Amino acid sequence: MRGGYTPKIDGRPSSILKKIALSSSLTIDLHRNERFYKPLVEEGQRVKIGDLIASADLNLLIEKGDSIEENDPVEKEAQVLYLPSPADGIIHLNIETETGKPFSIILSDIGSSVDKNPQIVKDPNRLTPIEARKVLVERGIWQYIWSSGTNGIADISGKKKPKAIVINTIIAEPFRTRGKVILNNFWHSIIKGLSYLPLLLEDYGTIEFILTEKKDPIVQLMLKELTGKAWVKFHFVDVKYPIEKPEILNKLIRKEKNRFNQDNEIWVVDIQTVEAIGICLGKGVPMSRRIVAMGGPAFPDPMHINVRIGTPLKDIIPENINLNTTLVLRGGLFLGEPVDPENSSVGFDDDAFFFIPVKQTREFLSFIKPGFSKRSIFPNFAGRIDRDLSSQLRGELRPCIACGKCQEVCPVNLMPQIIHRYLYTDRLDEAQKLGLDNCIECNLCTFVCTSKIELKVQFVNAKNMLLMEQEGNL
Amino acid sequence: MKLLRLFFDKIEPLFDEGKALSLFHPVYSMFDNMMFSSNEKTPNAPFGRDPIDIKRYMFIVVIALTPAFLGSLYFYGLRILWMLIVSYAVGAVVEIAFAIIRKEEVNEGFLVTGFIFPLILPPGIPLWMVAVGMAFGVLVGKEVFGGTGRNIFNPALVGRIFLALGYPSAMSGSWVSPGSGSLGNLLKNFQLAAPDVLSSATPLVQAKNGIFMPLKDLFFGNILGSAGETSALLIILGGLIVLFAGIANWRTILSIILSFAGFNLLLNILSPGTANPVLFNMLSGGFLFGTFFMATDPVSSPITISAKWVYGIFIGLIALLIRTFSGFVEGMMFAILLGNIFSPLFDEVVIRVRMKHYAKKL
Repeated sequence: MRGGYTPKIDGRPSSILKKIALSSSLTIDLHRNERFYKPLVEEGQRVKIGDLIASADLNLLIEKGDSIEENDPVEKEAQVLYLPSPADGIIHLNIETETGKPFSIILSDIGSSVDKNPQIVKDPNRLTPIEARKVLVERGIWQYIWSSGTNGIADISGKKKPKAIVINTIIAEPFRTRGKVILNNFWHSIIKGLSYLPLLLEDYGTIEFILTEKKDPIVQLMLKELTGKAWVKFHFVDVKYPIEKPEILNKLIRKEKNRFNQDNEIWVVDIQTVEAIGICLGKGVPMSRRIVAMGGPAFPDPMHINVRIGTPLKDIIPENINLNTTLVLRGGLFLGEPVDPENSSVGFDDDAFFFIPVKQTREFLSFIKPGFSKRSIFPNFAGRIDRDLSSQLRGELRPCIACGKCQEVCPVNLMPQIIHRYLYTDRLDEAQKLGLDNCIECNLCTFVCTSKIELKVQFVNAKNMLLMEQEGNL
Repeated sequence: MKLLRLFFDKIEPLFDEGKALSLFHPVYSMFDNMMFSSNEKTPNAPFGRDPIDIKRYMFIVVIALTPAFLGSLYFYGLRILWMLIVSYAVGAVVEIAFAIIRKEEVNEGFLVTGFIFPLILPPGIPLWMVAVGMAFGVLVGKEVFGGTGRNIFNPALVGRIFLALGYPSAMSGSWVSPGSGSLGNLLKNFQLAAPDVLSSATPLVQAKNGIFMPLKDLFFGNILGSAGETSALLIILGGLIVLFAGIANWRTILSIILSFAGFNLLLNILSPGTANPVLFNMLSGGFLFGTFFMATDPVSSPITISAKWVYGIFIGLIALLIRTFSGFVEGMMFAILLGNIFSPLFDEVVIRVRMKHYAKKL
């Protein structure tokens, strides 16, 4: 990867993994990642852990030629995502008053009958690929699988199989669940999950591990365990945001020219997904919890937590955090969006909550207070208050002065400063010619911009406009 | 500081739209932004941003220029301070006037321009020339193009070239002998008027006549020259600050130095006696100052990273050619200006190459 940058920020979660007790009620949001789930259960219904409670159509952007036929119900049925219930309990549907649509499911009278209710476990050798895919979909794990073919969630039908599955253990974005924490704590489930992954691969496909430092004991252990398995390959890379973006990993793997061609699909999963696969397929336990990193400058004792899906944020945020002066982000610093900590819960795809202090004070003559600091991409002379991360913009919007930092950090080798100039003068075509479509929306250019320009928002808007133009032409 | 903050908050409504002083809102927001750090919230992800902003960016250049400025006070006395005040005052007036006309905020670019300008002038120049040069530089070099970020030329350089072409005798004959000893001229030259003892024999002029100053004098600053470019040592010190703070692009600096020294060496080998010795050439005149502080101006140098290499090589070569083969003894000023003119072209080439690369992929 070219470029990339990981800023130095306080509040990195320690590798301690704390188990959070089961809450008295769980909330499952039905609107996640621009996808609406429809409830499959009724008000007052009693469900068991693992029962399917909601579903959503997976609208894949499949290339022309192999698009799903409208009258083929079997195909259509194959492209549905499910959410399983994370615990035993009684269903209550939260319905929006204006539209009459349910927006979340609340589980009350919570229990967990996992141990009393063992699911059928099959040895990987005796499980068929169709069965394996079915279990992964119904356990809610499929949505974590990224595919280069769809540039999103992988095709469920089984028509397209990947030539390689990339397992990423590196998360550089501050601060999402670190692969090492999962590796250290769930070693056996991961090994188990690994043994099921070949079921998804095409013939002679490979598993590609993305790792850092060879010297790490857990990595050594893994190398030892997996040597001699020709279908597992290892890649050692630098920890630099946004290395964990599947688009970047896909490119990285494809650099080995003789192994892949354009038509080969590559799937990317993170290590937490492999662990979940190991638990679901290997131990027969439904997917019901997430390992979540709690960190950021405003979090007093940053760590990782092992939490049941649907747990309200109120129950996992320590009481000594003043929520009036803290902004809580769902996700890491770069891609996280703010959530209302009073009314939100841990979702199926959450792996981080980032706490940023909201500051009101305005520091006097902050820009002339000298002191070298590595907290900025410029090792600059920063004022004391402004030096620490906050939800402030920490500067004023100004015209681009072409300092070139955005180009230096861009992981896909774009020239954001030039694209910005083109978009500023409404020259969309030129921006597209300069590779605007390649932008992976990692937000790095926006983060480092000296002039505080909302580069990513501009780029996304431009991309949408280009898309609309194309659709209009078709 | 709380009192000051209260005062600012109290007078702010006066500058609101429709109020008596609304025309002067840019002035209010300039002082407000200068005195207190920004209080704006991040509107979109990422919800925390890098602490760098334009003010800090510009101010690091000012910090880096401080050694050269203090040196100029030592060599030429407090008159340089007067020049600085005049330069800042005129720069601010023009900048604010245009901010009011354009109804935009005042840009911080003049922090640097105002500080650089007196340092690239001869220390014996009349103060009104400083004012005229600065006004012209900011007006024609920057504001007519749309202000900071949109200018093609380095404003300080435009001002200096205007003076050099408009008042050639003053600009080539207003050199003052630098002070020496423990205090130098530090407590002298209080007066506003130009000093009496003026000379025109800078090291580069003397070199044309075959007299080379010792390198030690060039390095420490015992020579005639522009206010800030006398001592190579102080310039390199400041240059290292901008270099390590990441403000000046190392590619530009490295390529200028390599190109200038390389071509100079080549010329000396191919035709001995034509050009000055390499080290003498590098330490004399405005070469180092121009390299570290003028050519690296991000706005007027190429925008793309690859084009910065070409730009640097171009400037180094042109500076050498002007110095060696033309009537001008100093070549840096015109070389950077030519570099500024050509930088959009360099950018365009890089962009075209990139576009072709993407077109191939599709």
